[in-house]
Amino acid sequence: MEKRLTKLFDYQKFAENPRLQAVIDSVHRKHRQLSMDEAELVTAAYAPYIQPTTDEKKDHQPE
Amino acid sequence: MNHPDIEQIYTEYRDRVMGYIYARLRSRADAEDLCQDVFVKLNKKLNSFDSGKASISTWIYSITRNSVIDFYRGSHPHEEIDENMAQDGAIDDSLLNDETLGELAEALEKLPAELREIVVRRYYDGMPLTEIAKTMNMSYGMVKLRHNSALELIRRSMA
Repeated sequence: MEKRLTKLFDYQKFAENPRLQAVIDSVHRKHRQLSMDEAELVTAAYAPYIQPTTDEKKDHQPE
Repeated sequence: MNHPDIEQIYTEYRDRVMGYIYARLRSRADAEDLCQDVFVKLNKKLNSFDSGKASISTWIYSITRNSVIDFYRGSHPHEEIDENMAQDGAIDDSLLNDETLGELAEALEKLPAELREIVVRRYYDGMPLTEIAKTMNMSYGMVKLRHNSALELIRRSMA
């Protein structure tokens, strides 16, 4: 089975069957999305906490 | 027997041949040269093409694939040929057709997402199971088990 799959997937790189390509692309899209999500998590983890300024604190005081 | 016209073949298949070659050689100049060589070979062999034995697409693919292998063996003997191409043995032409690719697509669609991912990464992307395990955050043993399950399910689906 492994040899058969190897040959079929290699042939797919030439023949570009649309249905099979859609399956392949869906796996690649998922991998790209995961990579982007992981990148966002890393960015969020390192985002500095910004202290509100004195003026901003005053703006939020009840009148 | 009617033989296809080389100019028609060039028009229809040039981009696919070039795409396949460039994906492996990664040098546009080398790929262009080899692509030209492939069509010279096709033109020489056109009279011997037997549509009863193989589809034109499979025939062109076979010549293209073998040309890439010869290129590596001849001009880059120290470089490793892509594992997916290095397997010896004649290509079984009855296996390589659009219908079989469609059957494979159907078999993959039926798989759980995780198994499908392992199969695509292993056999299309050419990743070893050890690398797939790291990418999917799984142990090698688990990936290997799931890989074997996937193969069995595909085998049954395509039987």
